[in-house]
Amino acid sequence: MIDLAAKPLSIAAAGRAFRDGTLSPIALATHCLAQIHRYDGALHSVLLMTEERALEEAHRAETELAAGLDRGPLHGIPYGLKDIIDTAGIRTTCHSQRDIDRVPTADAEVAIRLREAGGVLLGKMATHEFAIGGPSFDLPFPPARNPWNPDHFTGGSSSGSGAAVAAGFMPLALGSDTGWSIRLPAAYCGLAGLKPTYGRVSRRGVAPLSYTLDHLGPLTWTVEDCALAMQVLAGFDADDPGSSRNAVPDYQETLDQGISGLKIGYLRQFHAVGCDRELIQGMDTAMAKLASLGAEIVEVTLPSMHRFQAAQQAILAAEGFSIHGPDLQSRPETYGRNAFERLSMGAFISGADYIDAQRAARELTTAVESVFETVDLIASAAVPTPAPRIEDVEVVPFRSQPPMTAPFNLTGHPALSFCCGYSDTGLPLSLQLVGRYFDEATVLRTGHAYELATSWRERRPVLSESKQAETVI
Amino acid sequence: MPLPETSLETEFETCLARHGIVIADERREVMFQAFLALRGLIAGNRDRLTPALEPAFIHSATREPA
Repeated sequence: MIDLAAKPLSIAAAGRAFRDGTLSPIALATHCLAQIHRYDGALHSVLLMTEERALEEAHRAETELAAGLDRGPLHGIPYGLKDIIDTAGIRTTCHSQRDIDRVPTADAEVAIRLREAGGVLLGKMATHEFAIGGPSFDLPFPPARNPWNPDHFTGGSSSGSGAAVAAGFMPLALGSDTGWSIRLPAAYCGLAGLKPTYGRVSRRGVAPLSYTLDHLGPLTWTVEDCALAMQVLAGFDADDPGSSRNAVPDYQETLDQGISGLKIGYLRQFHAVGCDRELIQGMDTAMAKLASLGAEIVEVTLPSMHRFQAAQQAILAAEGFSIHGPDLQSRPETYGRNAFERLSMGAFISGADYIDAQRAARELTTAVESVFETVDLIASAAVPTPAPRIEDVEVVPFRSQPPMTAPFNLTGHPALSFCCGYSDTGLPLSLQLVGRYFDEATVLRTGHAYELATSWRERRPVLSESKQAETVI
Repeated sequence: MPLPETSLETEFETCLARHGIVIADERREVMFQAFLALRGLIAGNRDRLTPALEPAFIHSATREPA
């Protein structure tokens, strides 16, 4: 039988164990819930545990698998949902006082897909308030902490999703990404986090922040697990106006095909945005590893980060204000300070500003597309540094230098951040791979090949029960 | 030509008032600096656009083709 205490299981490993009889879904769910009870007091990754439902779903999965009914790669797999994703009958707060008592009557499309795939919902995960305000200490729940060192930031806004997967509480959690919110916590917590192509995963039933920049996607321990999750999450939804009818490929089919002959454009230009020495070294070493696996590495350039940021920030501010403006006016006291101030920045964006930003976005998208005429993938830093201390995070109304992930929300290309080593202080380093539209398969294949060729996935955070987080004000 | 600080302050106050956003006095300077930073960042979105970048060549009657 599998020794769950030895180390957390990936989705792939748990799935194999379910099917060869060395592990049961009930045993895995019970273990995951116990780990949350034991360690999450220091990490604050879970806002609400759905323990009863989890055990029911695990029991159902066990019965079905035993009877030969196999719902696929997520059958019996524990997962968490960022608390901006609606769950019927289960409180969904957006980590905000404004929605503290809100209980949706319908599931989000991704929640439906995970339920029908036989997943086991463990709980609703901490987030920055409305996926924008944080890390904050003036909200109903404290901010999540980084399992690699609880004094450090998880990244956000999918902060609880990143912390919980890194801590081994669950092998899968969903996040949203409007500029960095999947890939930043994935980078800081040493995970694989995929922002799929715009329209690849439905956003119906998820609290919006920006209609044209929002994406949903998985955070997992391995890239292979991202592929398994995408098989369930991807697909057309007629009720999401941004959803695509493009056929969903079999991500597993190509995962092990290797990367020989792939051409990867290395975007060193993004290093200029204050990149940490250790991070650059880690990325250079990762690119050398990809070359040793058969990829051809070439240097590429794009328009300046500043231009991507200008367009992305204007669109985010305007669309976020379109969504939240009435509530910022009528019940401002229900927002935490940071979310209130960041969302209020939209008051300064005129109609012309918004149109200019959308036109710039089109031009910048064309520039990225022209690079993809010569390479299969673009590789860059995802963030300039390893996770900072949470007390050093600049919680300001406007961040003029967001991470290097934001350009690909503007253009809609699929982008994956994954672990490419550790700093001298033991914090994860990360790399971002960007693919052509709807070519998540090549992005995932490359990340998977890299993970198989390195040992970074062997290392796990050491959790502590005694570490107490700061008092919530 | 750069706008004088007083014009920017007026724009800041007007935008907030127009949308009914009330900023606490102790946060006003922080928000004003954020407003200036945002304004500075997004200015480039407009400045770079020329008629040559507009397929229909109708971007702006006030500018010469690039």
